[in-house]
Formats: sequence, C-alpha cells, structure tokens
Amino acid sequence: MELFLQQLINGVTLGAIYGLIAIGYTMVYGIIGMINFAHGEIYMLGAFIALIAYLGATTLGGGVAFGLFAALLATMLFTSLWGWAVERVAYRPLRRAPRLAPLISAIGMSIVLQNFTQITQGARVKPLPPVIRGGFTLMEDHGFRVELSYLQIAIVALTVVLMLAFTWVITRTPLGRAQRATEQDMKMAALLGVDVDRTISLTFVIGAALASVAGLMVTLYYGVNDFYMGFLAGIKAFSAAVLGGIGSLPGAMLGGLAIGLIEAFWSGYFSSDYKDVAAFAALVLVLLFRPTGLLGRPDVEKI
Amino acid sequence: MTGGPLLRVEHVSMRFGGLLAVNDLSFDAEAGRITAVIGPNGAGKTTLFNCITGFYKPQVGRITLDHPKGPLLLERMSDHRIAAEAGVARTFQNIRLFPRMSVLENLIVAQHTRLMRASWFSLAGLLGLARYRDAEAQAVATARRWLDRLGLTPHADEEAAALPYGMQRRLEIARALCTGPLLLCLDEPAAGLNPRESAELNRLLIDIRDQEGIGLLLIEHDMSVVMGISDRIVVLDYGKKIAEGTPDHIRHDPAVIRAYLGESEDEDLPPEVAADVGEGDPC
Amino acid sequence: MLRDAVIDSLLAGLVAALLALPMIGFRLVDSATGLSLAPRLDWVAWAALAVAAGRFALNLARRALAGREVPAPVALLSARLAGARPAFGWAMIAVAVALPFLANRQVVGIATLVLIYVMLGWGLNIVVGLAGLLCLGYAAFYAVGAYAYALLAQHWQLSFWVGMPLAGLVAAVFGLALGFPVLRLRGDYLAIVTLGFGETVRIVLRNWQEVTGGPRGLSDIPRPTLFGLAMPPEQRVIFIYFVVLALVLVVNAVVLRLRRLPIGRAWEALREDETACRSLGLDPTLLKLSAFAIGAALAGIAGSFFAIRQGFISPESFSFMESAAILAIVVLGGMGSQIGVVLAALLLVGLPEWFRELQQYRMLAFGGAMVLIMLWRPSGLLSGRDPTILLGGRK
Repeated sequence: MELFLQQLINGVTLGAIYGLIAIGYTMVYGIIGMINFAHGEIYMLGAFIALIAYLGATTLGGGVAFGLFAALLATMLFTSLWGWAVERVAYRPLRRAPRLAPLISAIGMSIVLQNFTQITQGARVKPLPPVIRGGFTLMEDHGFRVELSYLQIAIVALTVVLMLAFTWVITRTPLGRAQRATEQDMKMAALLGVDVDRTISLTFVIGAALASVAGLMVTLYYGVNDFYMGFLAGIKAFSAAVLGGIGSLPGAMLGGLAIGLIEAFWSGYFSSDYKDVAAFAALVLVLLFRPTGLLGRPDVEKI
Repeated sequence: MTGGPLLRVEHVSMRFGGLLAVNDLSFDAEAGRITAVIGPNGAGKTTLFNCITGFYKPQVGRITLDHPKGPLLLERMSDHRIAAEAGVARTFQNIRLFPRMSVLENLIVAQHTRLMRASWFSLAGLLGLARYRDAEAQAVATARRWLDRLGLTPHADEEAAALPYGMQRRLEIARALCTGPLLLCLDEPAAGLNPRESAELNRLLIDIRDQEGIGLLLIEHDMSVVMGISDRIVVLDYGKKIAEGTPDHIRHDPAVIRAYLGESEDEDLPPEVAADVGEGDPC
Repeated sequence: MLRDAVIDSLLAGLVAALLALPMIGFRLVDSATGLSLAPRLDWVAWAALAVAAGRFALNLARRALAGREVPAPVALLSARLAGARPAFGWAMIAVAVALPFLANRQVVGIATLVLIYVMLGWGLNIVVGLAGLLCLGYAAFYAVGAYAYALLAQHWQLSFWVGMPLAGLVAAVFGLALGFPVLRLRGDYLAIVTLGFGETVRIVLRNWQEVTGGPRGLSDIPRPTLFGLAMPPEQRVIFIYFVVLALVLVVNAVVLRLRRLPIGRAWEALREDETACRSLGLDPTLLKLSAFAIGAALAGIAGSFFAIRQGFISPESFSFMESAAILAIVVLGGMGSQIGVVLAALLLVGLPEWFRELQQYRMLAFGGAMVLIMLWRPSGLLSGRDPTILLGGRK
C-alpha cells in the first residue's frame, strides 16, 4: 500500500512534467502536421537556462525565492525565443516542402542543439543540490515512508495553474481562436485575415514556454542536467502526446500522466531497467485498440 | 449465374452513432443494365456505395452479388476482397488516382491481382520467367484497349496528377474497368464536366453496358446523364428509398418531386428543373 | 533597399545576442564548492556580430541574384544525370572496384562503411520511399542482424556465408513483428511506434546481459575466412570490402527489378493512396508486411557486415541517431533514387569519418548539414520519378 501511494505521488509529478512537454508536441502537430523533433532539446535548453538564471540571481545576492522567480521568468523568456528562432530558421521555409523535409530538418536541429549545448557548457552533468527541501510524511509502515515533498506539490500546482491559464487563452482569447482556426483549415483562416505565420510562431513560443517550465521543474526535482536529457524525455513526451491523441490538449496532459504513472509503477514494482519499454508497450497497446489515441479525434476520412 | 439480378441489396441499414444514413434499403441491379441512384445531398447515396464496396459494414441487411462461381455476400467481405474476388469496381466522388504515377502505371496497378497470381507474387518476375513477361504484356494490352476507348492514349506516360480534370475522371473509370469487373460503381462520374463532356460520358457508359455486358451502378446529380441513359432509377431521401422505376416513371413521381423541391405539391416544377428532369428534350 | 538589409541584419544580430546570452554568455562551472557561473559575454558579442554579418551577406547575395535565373548547380547535375544515369552508375562501379588498389587500408575501411550504409539506405527506401511507411526505428533491424550474426557465429561456428543470410532472415522476422501492430496506424502514429520499437530493441540489447553481453556488447566476432584459411588484417579488409561491394551490386539489381514488378508498383500505389488500392483489390496488409520484411532483411544483412567489419558490436551503435542518419540518407538522396542514396551516404558517412578528429564539431556539422541541405533541396539531391513502364515498351 505504501509503495503504491509513493509511486502514485511520484508518477503524478513525473506525469505533470511530461504533460507540459507533450503539449508543445501536440500543438505543433495539430497546427502544421509536423513532429517537432527538436522540442525535447528546447526543454533541455529550458532546463539549462533556468539553472543559469537561478545561479546568476542567487549569486547577485538574492534569496532562494528571488532566484526561483528569476529562473522561471528568464527560462520562459529566453527559451520561447529559442523556440521561435528554430521555427523561423528550420521549419518555416519548408512549410510547402514534401512531408519528410521538415522532419529531417527537425532531427538535424535536434542534433545541432544537443551539440551546441555540449560545446558551450561541456559534456559533464551539471549537478544542483536540492533547493526546495522538506515535505510531509503521509504514512509510515515497517520503516517505509510515504513522502510528499513541497517540491512535488509545487510542481503539480504550477502545472495546474499553467493548464488553466493556457486553456483560458486557447478558448477565450482572439489569439486562441486564431490558433484553433489555423489548426482546422490554414487556407481558410488566412483568407479570413488570420496572420497564419504569426499564429504558428506563437504556437511554437507557447509550446517552448511550457517546456521551459518543465525544464525548471526537472532541474529542481532531479538536479542533474546534461545535454542529452532532452532526447529521452522528448520521445516519452511525444509518446504521451500520441497516447492521449495527437492534436488534443487534454489528451497531452492525460497521456503525460499515463506515461508518468506507468514509469513510476513499473520502476517501483519491477525494475527501472525496462521502464521505458513499459511505456512504449503501453503506447502500442492503446494504439492497437484506439488507433488515434485515447482522446484523439477518429480520422473521419470522406471516401 | 443464377439468372437472378447481378446485385441484390436487401434491407440494408447503416448507422453512424445517432445518424441513420441508410434506412432499410432494398433494390436490385441487373447485369447489362444501368441503374442510377439519385437523391438530394445527404440522402445516403455514397454511404450505400461504401456499403456495397466494403468500405463500410452495414449493421443490418444483406448484399448479394451473383458471381459465376456462386453468390457472394458482400456485407461481410472486406473492401479489397470485394474488388479482387467479387469483381466489384468503383470510382470515387473526389477522384482518387495515384497522382505521382503515370497514367499507364495507374492502369497496370489495377490489374495487380492478376499479375501477382501470374508471377507467383513477383517471384517469376524476379527470375525473368516468360510466364511473367507474357502476363505483363497482356496487362499492357488491356490497358491500351481502355486507353484507346477513353481517349487517353497520347497521355499514357504522363503523370496522373498533371492531367486536366475531365481526363482524370476518365482515367479513374478506365482504371476501374481494367480490373475486369462484373459490377462497375461510379460515384458522380459527371461531376465537374461540361455538357459536351457529359454527353461523351453518356455514350461511353452506354457502350460499356452494351459491349461488356456488365452491370453499372451510378450515383449522379446531373439529370441529363441520369435520365438519358439509365435503365432503372432508385431514388433515396434521408436514407430511405422513396421511389424506384424507369426514368419516365420517376420523372412524374410525386414523392420524388416533393423530395427535391419541398412540401408544396401543388406547385409545378420550375421550367429549368423541368427541363433537367426531362420534361423537355432529354440529352 | 540597402537600408532595409542593414536593419534586417542588425535585428538578426540582436536576436542572436539574446539567444546566445544565457548559453554562451555564461558557463556553468562545476567545482568542489558546487556550481557557479563564469561569464563569457565577449563571446556573445562575437556571435551577434557573426550572425549580423552573415545575414547581411545573405541579403546582399539575394538582392544581387534577384531577377536573374541562376540554375542551382545541383539542379544542373540532376538534369544531366537523368540522361547519363546509367553511364554515371557504371563509372561509380568502376571507381569502387578500383578503390582498394588505389587507396590505403583506412580509406577502404571507410568505403566499406559507406557501402553498408548504402545498403541500409536502399532497404529503408523500400519502406519509406516506395511504400510510404514512415519508419523511425530502422536501426533495430540493423542491430538484430548484427547480433544474430555474432551469436550464430560464436555459438554455432557458422561460416559467414551461412550466417549472413540467416541474419537477414532473423531481421525479416522482426520486421514482420513490427509490421503487424502498425497495420492500422496512420502515418505519424506509425512513426512513433516504430521509434518506440527501435528504442525497445536497444534497451533490451543493453539489459539482457546473458545473451547480448549488455552495454559492453559482443566482441571477438569470428572473422570471415577464405576457404577456411584465416587472412592477415590487410587482406581481410580488402576481402570484406569486395564481398560487401558484390552484395551491394546484387541488392541494387534486385531492388531495381522489384520496382518494375507488381509488388514494387503496388508499394508505390500504397504510398499514393491506400483507399484507392483497396478499391482495386490490393491487400494493404500483405503490402505493408512485405515492405517491412524485405526492408528489415536488407538491414539485417547490412548488420552482419557491420559485425565482421568491426569484430565487436555494442548497443550504442544502434541508437535512434542511427535510424535518423539512415532516414536522412534516404531523404537527402531523394527518395526513390538509387544513386541519390549512394551520394547521400558518401556525404553523410564518408565525410564525417574523414574528419573524425574534430569529434564534437563533427556531430554539430552533421546536424547542421541535415538542416541546410533540407532548406536548400527539400526534395533531396536527386529527386523526380520516372515511370517504371512505358506504353511504347519496357524501359
């Protein structure tokens, strides 16, 4: 029971992080039908920038709270700029190109960003001692403690807040409407006066911003940043987006949660060696029965 | 062949969630005859086609094809098996060609089943056996025949996507015919054609009916085509059959007029519609 | 207007400065006392300047070329090649055959690797280029072939000539295993599942210590012998090269043939429109499975060659990076072009190997090349499709 609860807590926390990254994948796919392979690296950049900003702010004499605030602000701003730049340079020119061209460009961009980070910051892991410590002990049995840390609460709470804000933007603001219109029919939206380029850029920016927050969270949660962290997180977050139904925002969150829980439970009850395989296996199983994902819109093709 | 109708549709119903697209529909289509299915938009015509050709599975009903080797129940067969084994070929409302392949290649692919069988799944071809070479030559001859019949021969090696619209429609028909079907289902073959092209289409379909002896099932909105060449017309509205009969009979059927024009039965058909429906000179 | 070009370049420089500020401007330094920051703000200034200058040059070039039809060199190459393709092909074969007599052992070793990737490229081309199935886990089949060969050779002392086709067969079985679950999946869903498959195979190879040797992999893979006689390294490298070359030529002939046979055309039709295929009686299941099986078999054979070239294999040689590189070779070459794949393999495999010393920058250049080539030639270096059959007679 204790193990179950602990892994539940861990899984939800991990799931929140994956969900934030997954949203970037699903939004981009929804609007231009492209798998943004470099999104994992955007998340990685977010983590690094958050770390740098935090160190910078605390070195300048600020306290932990100031440092975190600065980190959050800085990573969201700078990472969004990176997300914007990547789209502008590597994807926009290929919008009318054959389907695989932007994909290869994205993979190339992903390699470039990984190696850019490796060259500018070195290949070694950057450790950060825990910044937010402490939490509650929910239960204790036979020496096994179920712990819920303040950080975990903060992560989930922040994710919920971001999700609510984001949903509000998508459903209530003109920007959100433009986004949804462009997603459904780009040509028509353009004819109706929607600035398609700007809408697409904004999609990438929002996705990058959310991924950067995930990067900050991971920096605080695990404290081991390295240039390769974006790759595995990226595939898993993309799997989460597909699992939930690509193009569906609640699906991305749901998928993220599912992947996080599967990983946590598998590591807890079996071994952590094959936890990634468990996540992929779950994806395949879901797709076997629901080929468009849990909340995905079934492909109604007019025959 | 049993001597009965080529295609028998019995009490077929197709439901999508809350919508009953086809409602207890029954009719027959004969070989060597042109049967047209007409009705206002949304009446369930293409859904019916998709049921017959296996792309949808109706929840209720039976669809029987009278094949020389014995009757086949189409409602449970998969789409590609219906095409390969039952000899039912079709065209699509929004043309579905193989855009980056040439006109000739489109027609060769249509004969795939025959070619695969003749070449032992391509193995004979890999080994360069005469068996395959003959089969391929035969396929090209068949393709050439239909290219000539449909006036596409000069374009045989061009990319299908590069053809003008009218020719793409003709190519799709040629491709369906290359499968050597017993029943040819055409979904709005006259859509987007000008009056001259429609008249040519009429001549073509009548030729096919007379010379090939196959059955033709047609969805169409262009009344000059429907009234001009159909042997039998089935009228659908909201998924139900509201009338069936010869063009003459349908022309004057009050239920049909009501479906197309609305409730007011007392009104005469406006002259343009009357002309279309054939009260004037048919094409 | 010149002023616009200047403003545009300055803006580009500003953006570059902002992008560079966190990552280039500050370096994370890990020392005994923990992490700290070391500022390098002058680098940011240099980066901004470089970007602004480059952008300015680009703007000038664009203005200079505006209105003038300057055919891109590769377009010319492509057009000329189209006519001369057979001759060009024979020329390449001639060079390939003569290579070991002209170059040293290191070059022959690299050439062998290039040939292995050519085979991989042609195999993936069947799956992605012909059948239109976006496979992102192709390296899994490559790995399966390599490990299958290594294990067969080590445990059952099978000769190379028996082990190599068997490796292909084992890989084909894995190809079917992947093919079944993805039959109903639409394009991009299929992509992620194949990606997961590739990762799964790698993870299993890394963790299943008893069979695969875990992270350290398998070493002492028996080398091929010439009629039972062992060969000195110099000769062996050349021998392996010629065997790979011979097989590559056979594969080329077979693939070119397949494309003119019903199965090849059916694959392409599947890629063009699956619904239309069904309406003509084509069974997509058979087509997809055969594409996966044959594509996987070719990767498996390539894997066995990789095993004997290295003498040692480990899971890290078969990561997603591999799958991505092979896909890049297919797309860069121009899907459907046999020679295109060869050129792309030379470019993406041969050159980086040549510059092995510049380790980190090598990968950076690799990724950058992928992006740049796509921006420049989105359809690949040699694209364009010729019909596989002409009305006037066979091609």
